Amino acid sequence: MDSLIKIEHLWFSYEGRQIYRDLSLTIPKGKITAILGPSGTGKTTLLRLIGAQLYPQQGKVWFDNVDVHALNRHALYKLRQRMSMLFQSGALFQDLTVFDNVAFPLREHTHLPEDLIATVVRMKLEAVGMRAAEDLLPAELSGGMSRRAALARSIALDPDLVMYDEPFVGQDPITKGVLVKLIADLNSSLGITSVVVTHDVKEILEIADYVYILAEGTVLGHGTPEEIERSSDERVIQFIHGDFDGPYAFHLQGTGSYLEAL
Amino acid sequence: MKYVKTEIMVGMFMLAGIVAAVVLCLKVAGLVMSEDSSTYTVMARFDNIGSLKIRAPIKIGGVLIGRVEKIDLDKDTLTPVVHMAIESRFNTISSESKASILTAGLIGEQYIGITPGFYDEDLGTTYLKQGDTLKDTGSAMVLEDLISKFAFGAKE
Amino acid sequence: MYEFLGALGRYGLKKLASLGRSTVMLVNALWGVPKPGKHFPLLVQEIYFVGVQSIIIILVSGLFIGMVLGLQGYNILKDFMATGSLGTLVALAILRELGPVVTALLYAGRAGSALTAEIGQLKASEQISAMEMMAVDPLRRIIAPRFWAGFISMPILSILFCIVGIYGGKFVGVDWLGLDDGIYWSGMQNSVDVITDFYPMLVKSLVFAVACTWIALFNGYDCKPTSAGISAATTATVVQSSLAVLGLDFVLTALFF
Repeated sequence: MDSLIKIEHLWFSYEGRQIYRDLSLTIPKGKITAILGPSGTGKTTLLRLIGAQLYPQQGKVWFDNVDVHALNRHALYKLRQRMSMLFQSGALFQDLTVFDNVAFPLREHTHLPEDLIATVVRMKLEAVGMRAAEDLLPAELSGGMSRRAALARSIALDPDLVMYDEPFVGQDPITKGVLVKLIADLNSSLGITSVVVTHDVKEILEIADYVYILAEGTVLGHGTPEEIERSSDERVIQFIHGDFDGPYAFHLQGTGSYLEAL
Repeated sequence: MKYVKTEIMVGMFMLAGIVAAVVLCLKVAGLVMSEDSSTYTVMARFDNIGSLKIRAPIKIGGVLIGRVEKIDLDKDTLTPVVHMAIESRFNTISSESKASILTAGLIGEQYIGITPGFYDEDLGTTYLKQGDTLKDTGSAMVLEDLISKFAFGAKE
Repeated sequence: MYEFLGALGRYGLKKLASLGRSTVMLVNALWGVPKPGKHFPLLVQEIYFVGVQSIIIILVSGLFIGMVLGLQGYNILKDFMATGSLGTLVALAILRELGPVVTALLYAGRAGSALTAEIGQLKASEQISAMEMMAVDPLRRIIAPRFWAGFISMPILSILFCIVGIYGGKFVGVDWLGLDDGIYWSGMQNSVDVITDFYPMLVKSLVFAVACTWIALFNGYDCKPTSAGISAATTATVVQSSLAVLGLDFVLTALFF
């Protein structure tokens, strides 16, 4: 299996909280990899580590055989042109129209003439079904629409990798369906490697080629969706099926006894 | 075209800044853009310059003709040497003129007043030019000396 | 006692660390060759934001401060039969101190706090992160043009303040209280000098521009990306800028005069 990203023995803590301990995983090229895990396990942090916005205490992240954390500023910015990220909020530039948002990376990194940029932008907007919204401002878009516009922006430079940070959070079922289809379509038509961080198990298992389940700072289980479904690990089963009771207690683990505190 | 409007406003802002700076220099600081701003430098030795400062005015009969350019101390004689930049158009000042350090009003700033001397070619007097030194000088009146003279009687 | 010393030490280290971070931010923002084609329109946009939009408050404040100086000065000087020095008084007070200082304080309140809030908002809505991931350096793209805009705008605002203030003093002294117009201006022209009064004002306002803009940008860039974080950062900007301006003013005055 050809891999695009390799994470080796990653340790990371933030403000005294250990988020990753000895995390290792591999993301295959040209496939959709889902990273699942309960809230608060730092799945978004993982994406920021891959994009080298954060630096780990130990361990390495290889992107196409380049150690992203060993690069200098200039080389890192060069490398980041090959990856892009769809933020949870969309993170569209509020003072630019949808069109200008999508054109932004093109204007920054290419020397294309304006009419060619317009063609590319319309193509990308068409791909996410947002052609009609090009003159709107981000404030005028619904949550699902702004996520689609942001998706168009993140594929503007035809990156090798798109990282989706919780793309389904707070979306209605129809929008969820649209986004699922878009992620799958973009992956197959453009050959983009996709990493989807989410806790919407049902949606992502439909399209993912490979699944990692993270908990307590390390990989709990991994495999193809079929393997995950058949897993015998109780913790995996609890997460996949969303059971209330299981190895993960409903209550946060306190340090002292609750009765003692009383 | 919201960009163009912004650009025009910023352009007006910059222009207003420049105009205001010019007005400040001319109207408030009284800077005169004299058409002939070239000067020549004349030296004068004093016993005591009091609190004369650089850029203090140099006047003849109350008319500004130049400014103090530099104040130095002669290393051999240990006397102050004042370099005076005088505007080139005042080029008929006799070398026998007298430079004195005067005070504007009782407690005002000190300036150099020049009393024009006679001009007679036969006696070897010339007009002042670049690098000349004025020999006849009157030093600053130092208030403390004056008081002590008055209080302890004139010794001279 | 030990606890107190420890807390003091930790506080000192925290401040030292943020000074270090802010220096790194500024150096990274200003380092390297700007791309005139791309960055000039951004600069114009920001000068509009911090400079042009601050004009009204600067002009109105300048006018009133000049008028008050004219009124107070006239009443005090009248007792000494020295109303002829009103022009000198107004011009020197405004040029040497009030012009640059009050402009900087107003700038910190008007433009500085807005800069902090704007950058904090960009950070909270992940727009800065998004920019980084699009391989566009937010320091060069967001911080640098705002810094230069402050650096260019502040002296201009100061000069405008001085002009308006001096004319404000003239309105009161000459047009209202009946001082002679010629005496007002000539007294001023005799004592105000370009080198000893005008240049120090420019230097002061440039130093204040660097201090205020830097503080505002860093507080925005370093704030916690929450609404509480942004409002705390905005307050910090105004407080720190005001203290910095007054402290630096003392140092600069000691150096110049």
